[in-house]
Amino acid sequence: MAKRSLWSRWWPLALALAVVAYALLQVVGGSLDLRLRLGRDEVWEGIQSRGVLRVGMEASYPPFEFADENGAVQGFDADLAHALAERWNVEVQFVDLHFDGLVEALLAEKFDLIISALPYEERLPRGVGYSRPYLYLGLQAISRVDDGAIAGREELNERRVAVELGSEAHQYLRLQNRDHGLAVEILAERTLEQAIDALKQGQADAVLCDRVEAAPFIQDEGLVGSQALLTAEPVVIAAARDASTLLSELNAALREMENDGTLARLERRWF
Amino acid sequence: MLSVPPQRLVVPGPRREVETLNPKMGVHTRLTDEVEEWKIQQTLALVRQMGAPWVVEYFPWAYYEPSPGRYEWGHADVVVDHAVAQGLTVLARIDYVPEWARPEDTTTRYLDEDGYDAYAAFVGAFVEHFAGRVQHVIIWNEPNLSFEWGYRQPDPEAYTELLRRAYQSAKEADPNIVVLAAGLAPTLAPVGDPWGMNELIYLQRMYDADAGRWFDGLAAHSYGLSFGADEPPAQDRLNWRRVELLRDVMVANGDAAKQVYVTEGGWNDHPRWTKAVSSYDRIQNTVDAYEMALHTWDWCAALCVWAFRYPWPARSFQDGFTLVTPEFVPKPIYSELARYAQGEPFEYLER
Repeated sequence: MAKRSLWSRWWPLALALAVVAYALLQVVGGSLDLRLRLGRDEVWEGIQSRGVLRVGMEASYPPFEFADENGAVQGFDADLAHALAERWNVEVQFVDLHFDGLVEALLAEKFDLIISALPYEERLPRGVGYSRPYLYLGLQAISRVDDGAIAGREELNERRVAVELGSEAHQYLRLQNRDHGLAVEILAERTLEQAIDALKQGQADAVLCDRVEAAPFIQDEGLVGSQALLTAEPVVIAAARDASTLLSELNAALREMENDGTLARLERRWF
Repeated sequence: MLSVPPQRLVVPGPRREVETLNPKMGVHTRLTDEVEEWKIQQTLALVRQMGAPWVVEYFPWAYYEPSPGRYEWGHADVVVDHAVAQGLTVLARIDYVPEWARPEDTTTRYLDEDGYDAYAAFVGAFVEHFAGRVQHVIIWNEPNLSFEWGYRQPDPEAYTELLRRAYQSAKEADPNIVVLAAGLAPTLAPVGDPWGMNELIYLQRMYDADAGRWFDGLAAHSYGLSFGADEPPAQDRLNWRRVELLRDVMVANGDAAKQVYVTEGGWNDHPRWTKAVSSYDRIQNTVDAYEMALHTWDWCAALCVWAFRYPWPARSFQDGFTLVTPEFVPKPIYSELARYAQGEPFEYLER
């Protein structure tokens, strides 16, 4: 009872203070970083007002991003950036920068998005937000059509698997043999082409390599790629974490591109 | 029983010696974010077993001085003690600005002149704390890149002032400490480029600002990219021997007596990076580079390739630089370099 009577005495003053505080926030709000609370995304607004989507990448990773003979940026990611820009009715501007500096440059607002075959990193750098994956990379097994496709890791056990010396596939098989109970006979060849030759000539039962590297070989009518990747590494787009509208629009656009076949078309074009 | 303090499970042990035919061999380890002590020990033991007596390690200022004047050396002590126990010589790179030493909304590489004395004081404290265990410190990293200079235009004169203060502070702490000027990033970027400055121009401007008085040796970064180790240097090309042009700048400025320490370098074997080579060529080039340092570059004290191992996969081109995986699976390049250092026949390399 005592508390209620105290409240009834002071509530007009509390209301007045709240009104004053709200008015003060309106006045000084421009100088405070209230973007999140007010639901504004200045990165998205910047893209719209400039009419330009600025994309950071290192254009040195074909077939994802590379400069053609005229210096124009080409590749899977370049096409993806153009497809996004078209949906948002803006132009694309590429900023070509060393991969190591991309995240810091994004946070320093040098561009709006990183589209550079960026691997999903579970230790998310502070201030960075990721899109949904638009692609999966990883290791793929190649075998002879007559032998059928490799269904999974276990099918490599006690078989001869050719790899490029020192490649990720080479290290993967060494780790499987050491820690995961497989006994793969690893044939380390100097080049991937030599590993493929070993497979074709019957000296190896399978070849293991990066999915993108495998693509041209499994178009060979005598060879077949495993349906599933033996490792799966999601590839994402990065934006500033507080660019909430941009991230939301980005995810919606990627979902659309997945559903309407755009992403599949890009894979067929570039891999 | 509960009053007995827990025993330390991993101890550095007695000091070991590095057995090698090439005493200039080194690697850049990356133990900054390695938490488990046994992994730190295992990494450094593998370096010794490979036959590399030198390691470069990164000691971020922000980690070890979380508030002004309060030093927390715990992790750094662990790394250094294990390195010393393995018989390794540590080159300590020091940068990464704590929040308290820079304005809000700046990056960890941003330090304006108001903060130079705080950095210099940290370098002095580091040298004093590690006296007898660390004999070399590297002042900053790649200040000729905009992003390593807090996204400002690279400024050789400002860096020289930072170097001067750090040098004086380090020498006050230990007159025998070897102070190395920062390894500069090899780049063809011209003056005025927003992302960086040609390192040859940058070093000359450092000398013009009297930097020669404020370092005992020069750290250098040397990457071969897609070229072999023998490719001749040229002003308009980035390759392994470009470091010889840096050396020319030193000699032209009367600094021939000082040594160069290659604190980053080597080749990469990522399958898609256009600046990478095959794993086989990477092994071949790296052996050639170590041979060059030993027999041809008498001005080179140590060659430390980037990077021995990461605590976790980078899942990017950076993995193509390592010698050992995060799970401690040695790559073929590791075993071939070990054979080279011990004078044993190669398993893969045809020579």
